[in-house]
Amino acid sequence: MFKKYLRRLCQLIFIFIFFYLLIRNEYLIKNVIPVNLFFRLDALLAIFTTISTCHFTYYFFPSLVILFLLILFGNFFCWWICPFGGIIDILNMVFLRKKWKFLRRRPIFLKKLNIFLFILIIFTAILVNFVKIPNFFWFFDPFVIITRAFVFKNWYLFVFLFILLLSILWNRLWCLNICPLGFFYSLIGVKLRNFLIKKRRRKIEKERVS
Amino acid sequence: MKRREFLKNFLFISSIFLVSGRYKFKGKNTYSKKSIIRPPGAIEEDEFIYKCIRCGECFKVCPSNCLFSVPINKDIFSFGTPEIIPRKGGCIMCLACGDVCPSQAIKKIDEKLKIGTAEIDKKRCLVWTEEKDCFVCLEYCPEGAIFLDFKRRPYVNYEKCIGCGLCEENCPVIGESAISISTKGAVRLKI
Repeated sequence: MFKKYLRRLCQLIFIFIFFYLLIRNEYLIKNVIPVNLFFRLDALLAIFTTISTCHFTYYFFPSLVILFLLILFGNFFCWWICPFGGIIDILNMVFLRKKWKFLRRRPIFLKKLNIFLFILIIFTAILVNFVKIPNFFWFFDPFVIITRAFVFKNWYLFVFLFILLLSILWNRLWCLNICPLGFFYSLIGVKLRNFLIKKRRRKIEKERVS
Repeated sequence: MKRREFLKNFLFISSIFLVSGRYKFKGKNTYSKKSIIRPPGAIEEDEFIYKCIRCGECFKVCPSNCLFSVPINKDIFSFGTPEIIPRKGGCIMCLACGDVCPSQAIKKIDEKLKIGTAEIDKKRCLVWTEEKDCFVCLEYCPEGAIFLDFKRRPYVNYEKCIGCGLCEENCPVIGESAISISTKGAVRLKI
């Protein structure tokens, strides 16, 4: 229970930081925290731009640190840091009650959409080195959606509100079923981590037997 | 979703992407170079469209509000990327966009860079057509790139002009401006 409250508090802090940076960005004042902090933590963004342009920008170095931390601590980013996930989580807490069980079953067509989007993004990043194709990756990046929603306040805001609405109907639908960044972080923080832990355990057992 | 179904969908969407790209190979086409004025410090166009993640940070930071999102009907490849529309707002060369760009599609620079060149439409200019005493472009030019001849008609010094667009923004001619910025001579940085 304590961990749950701590997580909520952490999410609130990061939501506050996100909006603080967004508002602060309007004024040309140098910040201690870079205004594009959350984009720098976005490893999928780093991978896409690095593969598609064959060039790594040192600005994305924090995303590599995040990947390393994910292997150490599991997928903490989506549940503790991500402001998009934080907003969704808080909305879920307010609106999604236990009575609404009829909406708990997720739509089948959305079940593995995140895997599909992730593969598509990596595939297009490789493909753009050979063939010219439009760059639509930014449609699916959570930080791009949330930033553009508050910068332009036009149809991006409606996309953001639509995602929030979906997430109110189904618990963390965006995070668990659509978000390609979330899938990538869970791939590293859960699947890869579990694989490494199992491998290590096997090695220790083998050593004991021998 | 079954594996076969997944692969089928994957191939279908990939083919849509391929068709929309019209099978053009990199380096041979000039698809998105049509009069899109990029902010100072922008990298070369071919890399820019993939390096730019359309986050909107540059739009937000721009104090003169001269940056606008490229609409899909103008160029599908550049859709959502920042462009300067000088008639709506000229660039004051604060270079803040380079500071906030997370992917460095707009690089951090310390000096002003040429982003285009101004050209006077002599058929629309009030001085050239009606011989009125209008020197708005001359007054607004921060680089002193506009000069007058002995008949007090304005000319542009192409070497001095950096294409900031303040002249186009403030041109008093109704409708299309009598002085317009083109991407001619724009300096684009390497990746």
